[in-house]
Amino acid sequence: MDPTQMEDKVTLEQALRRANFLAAAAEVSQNITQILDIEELLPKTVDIICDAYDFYYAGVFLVDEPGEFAVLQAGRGEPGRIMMENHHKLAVGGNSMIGACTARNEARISLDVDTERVWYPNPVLPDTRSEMALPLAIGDKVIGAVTVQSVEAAAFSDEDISSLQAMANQLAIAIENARNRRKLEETHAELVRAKTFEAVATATGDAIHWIGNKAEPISGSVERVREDVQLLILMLVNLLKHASGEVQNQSLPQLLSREAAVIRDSEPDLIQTVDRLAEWPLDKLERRLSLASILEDLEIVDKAAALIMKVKEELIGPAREQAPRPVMVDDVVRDVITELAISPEVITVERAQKLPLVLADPVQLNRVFVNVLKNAQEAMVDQPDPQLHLTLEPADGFVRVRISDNGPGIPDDELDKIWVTFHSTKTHQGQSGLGLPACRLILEHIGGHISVESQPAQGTTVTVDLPEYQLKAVDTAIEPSRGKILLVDDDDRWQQLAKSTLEAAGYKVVLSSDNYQSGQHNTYDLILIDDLLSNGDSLEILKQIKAGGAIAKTVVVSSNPRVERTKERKLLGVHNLLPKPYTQASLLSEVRQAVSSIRRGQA
Amino acid sequence: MDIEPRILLVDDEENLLRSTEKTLFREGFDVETAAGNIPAFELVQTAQREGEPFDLIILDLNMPDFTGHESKYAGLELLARLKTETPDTPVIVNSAWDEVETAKLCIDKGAADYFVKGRTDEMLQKIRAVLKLTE
Repeated sequence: MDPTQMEDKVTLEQALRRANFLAAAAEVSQNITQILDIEELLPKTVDIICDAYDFYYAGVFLVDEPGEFAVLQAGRGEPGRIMMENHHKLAVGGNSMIGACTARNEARISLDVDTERVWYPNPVLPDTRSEMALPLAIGDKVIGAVTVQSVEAAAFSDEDISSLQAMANQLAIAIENARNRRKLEETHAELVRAKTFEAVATATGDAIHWIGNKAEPISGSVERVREDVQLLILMLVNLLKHASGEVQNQSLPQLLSREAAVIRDSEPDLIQTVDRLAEWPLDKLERRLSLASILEDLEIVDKAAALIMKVKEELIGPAREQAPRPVMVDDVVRDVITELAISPEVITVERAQKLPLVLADPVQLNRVFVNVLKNAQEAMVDQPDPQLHLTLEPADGFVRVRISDNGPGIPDDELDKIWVTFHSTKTHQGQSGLGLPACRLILEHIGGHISVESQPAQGTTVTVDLPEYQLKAVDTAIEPSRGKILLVDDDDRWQQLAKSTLEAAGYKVVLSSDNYQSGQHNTYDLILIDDLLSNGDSLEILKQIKAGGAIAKTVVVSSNPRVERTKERKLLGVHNLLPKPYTQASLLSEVRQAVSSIRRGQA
Repeated sequence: MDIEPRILLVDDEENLLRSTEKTLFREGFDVETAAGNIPAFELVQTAQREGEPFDLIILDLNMPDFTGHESKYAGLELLARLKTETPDTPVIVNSAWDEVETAKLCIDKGAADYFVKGRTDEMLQKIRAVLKLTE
């Protein structure tokens, strides 16, 4: 190679290296400006630097709060890991290169560490020959330093130094951004906490106000009843003074006069009241001291207690633990309509043909629909032709229930407030305003949601979205003995749920809607039969099964396990009753137990 | 006490209204009740017309206003109308809020006094003071 070629080669190598650095610098810049999390940013930066420049080690230090130490935040590879574990740190202004670099805000370079006067070899980085420390600074403020180390002597050219410093400057900005963002997030979180506290404080204040209002009549009523009873006794005793000796010697007058003595002792003021009342005309006395008045006061206490209990129920309702399970929404809705006795003339229900099961706690779901439907009913109180329209339909992983009324609607400025606890404190007597916020909590808990739209003078529509039930993969490993099961049910969805659950657990499942034929029973290990088949009572089929001799291996699944019904089936000799709705787990455990105990019985 | 002082009691909390009515009745007052601004104002006008004006009006703050809608300061609207309709009849305001500011606001608007709901003794004491009665 002649000298010209040599020069060309060097120039080419330099050009390639330079291009490589520029690409790396661009990559670092691009990457680090995107990462806003310091914990992620720094390890990534050391990796990019090492890969791009082929250094064997790079590390990032950040200066601590008091400015005393540069603390290692990320280091390449195993040496980095060890030093991080040891909380490696170097004193700012100390004898180390990082110490000098962070103290003076300038790069320190050692092209051959062996010739350095002051250089302390790092035991975990024994092969370092060249080392460079670059300050991370925002203007005059040094926030840290980057160290890069190479196994070659004289590893850094002037170009390396300037491109690495440019990268370090970018990194400093990225770190500062990440820190600012964290500060912002902390401030935001603080603000949210303060807001939450304020909301809780307001709700608590409102709750106290509300409960106070409801509880207030109690003490007055109790006080009046106590006084009335005492007055009646005193007046009776006064009256009995005029009775014959024979009457006075009976036990009741004696008891009363003893009671009267106690009252006179404890409430001497009452004696004057008795004297005053004795002079009152009947009509006036009646208003003051009638049994009706006493009973009314008891009624007031009763009402107050009921209102307080109601608020308690509504407060603890959403907090109550939920046990989500597959539920048929249309069943829950139908139950609620029955429960609230909504006339068929008022309500129309439109239900999609295929409605998936949803995952919800049936009791909590019932509360949600009771609340929403009650609100709708109340909204239509003054409506001459009240109309409630319900639609149930699948909606992209959810079952959507829309409840529309033709009440007066909710004005725009009121619409936000309906979600505020205790908002409607006194609009309707006995309404606590907890309903909708509670519904929202219940639904959010199971991954559903609720929204309200309203057109003044046209009505209000509440939309409830409930998450569709996803069939779980069932652990088949725990199933020791499988069997063949006859499933008699005419509800497609339950049948499918039960079938796939049992099949996933290794059972062979034969479906039958109602055509159980006697004589077949011996081929099954277990017969699961729905208690409420739409085309007739299960009792007839159960009798056939009994006649076929298979009643002892029959489990009745019942959504309405009333005592009488249960007894009747038990008397018939069925193995067990399983309440519906059931979870996959409860179905499997019941089936598992039933199959093994039936087999034991046969053996 | 020969003539019973006539009191109009205004509150929309049904249970509370009845309970307070009974308490006042037992203390020797002739009590009428109303559950909001509209019926209360009608009763006051009727009483004026029939020459049997109320001696005292006790009203709640948060109740249905003159449009029939629940409002936090409906009682103050009623108070303002009463001040022009029957300026000589004292009005005592009560509410569940135990706040000096609320009490001050009511007095500024012309109330004779203010008490916090549920404090029966304080209520009776203030009624007697306003009516200049001795126990």
